Amino acid sequence: MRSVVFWLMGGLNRATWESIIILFPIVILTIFLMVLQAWNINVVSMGEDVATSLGVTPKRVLTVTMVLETLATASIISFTGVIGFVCLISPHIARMLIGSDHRFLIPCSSLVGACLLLCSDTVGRLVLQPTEIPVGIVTSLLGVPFFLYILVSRRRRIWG
Amino acid sequence: MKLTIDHLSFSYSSFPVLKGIDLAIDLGEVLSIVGPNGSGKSTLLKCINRILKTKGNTVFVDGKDINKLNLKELSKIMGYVPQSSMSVFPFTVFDIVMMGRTPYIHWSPSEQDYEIVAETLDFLGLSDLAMRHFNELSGGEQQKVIIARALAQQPKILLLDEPTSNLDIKHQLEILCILKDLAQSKHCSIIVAMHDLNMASRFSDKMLMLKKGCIFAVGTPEKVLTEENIEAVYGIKAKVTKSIMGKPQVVPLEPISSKEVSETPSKFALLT
Repeated sequence: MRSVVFWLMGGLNRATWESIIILFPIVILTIFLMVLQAWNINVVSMGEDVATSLGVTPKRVLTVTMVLETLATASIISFTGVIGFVCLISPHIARMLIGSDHRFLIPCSSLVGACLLLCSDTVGRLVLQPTEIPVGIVTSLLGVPFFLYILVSRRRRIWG
Repeated sequence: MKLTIDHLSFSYSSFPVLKGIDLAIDLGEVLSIVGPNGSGKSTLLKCINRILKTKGNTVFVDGKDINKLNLKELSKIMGYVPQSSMSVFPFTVFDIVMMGRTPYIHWSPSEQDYEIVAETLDFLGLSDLAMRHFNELSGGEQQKVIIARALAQQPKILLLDEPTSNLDIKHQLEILCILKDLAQSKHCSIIVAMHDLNMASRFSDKMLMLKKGCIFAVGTPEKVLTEENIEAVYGIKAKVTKSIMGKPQVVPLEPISSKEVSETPSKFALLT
């Protein structure tokens, strides 16, 4: 029961070197394979017809990236529990930093995500000492306002 | 490069859109496809480019069936300019044109790719816009960028779907002059779907008039743009004169109410 609660809240306090030994190769491999697909992802973002006319099969690219994403996320989540909003914030920050080219965007947003998680975890451990706030709560505190901001700014764009 | 289409038919689910299209286009020719909305112009272009797959062997490039080529080989032969374009993510003009090099690059563009993109931008007079974001450009500029992307593919056959329909008259002329120039100087075969009959008449070597997915007329603009053809295909009364360029000029007069339009051939009646 305790571990279910822990898993649902999400946190890094159960992390051990063993989990890193398992996770490290999986994450490195998936990021590497994703970066190999990066140019194709750029092309598919222009629309399926255009991608086809440029010699890229959109369905194949989508399937490959979905499988890789799922593999990476699922393996991490199974060790740390659910930590929300990192994936919402970090790609946006990365895109603001270096632009839309996925060849650079994918590694950059992985790094931004890692930094974000580390900072949130540190903050969570320090703020209410000696009690530790799980990192999932801290990222939600950051993520919800960010989410609302995106919601409002997108709506403004649609309504002109 | 010679493109031949042999009895091409296409249906969306069970609704037939194209029926038995036969066509041949030679090196360096400009062919325009005209016809009312829904007559199958865009579908025909997409079938030629294999964005839509047809059954059987229907489209041949230099006698080779395009269904036997892989997508990458095909994309080195044919470039496609869609009706409208938008970019979900903020890419620069240079990035977008570089995407045209996709068939030639594996992960990262080479020195040569950068040169070709720079040349293409220069050719279309877009060099000053290279670092601007695509979504911030005007419609005419965007259309030129998309044409630049197709040219960066270095295709032998260029397919364009209504490239001028949202543009002002200057951009229309510029783009059509560029296409004509491409056909003559680089021996690129160009197939362009169009609405403006007068522009089509002026710039094309050959015209193809579609009606409900069938070829109604094909040949030189003089042969295709007759008062009878226009009346039968578009359901309007029109006067065809000669323009000062020596090409047929269509002056639309008035629509004919649907009752008066001459009956379509009986095979259409069977379908309904």
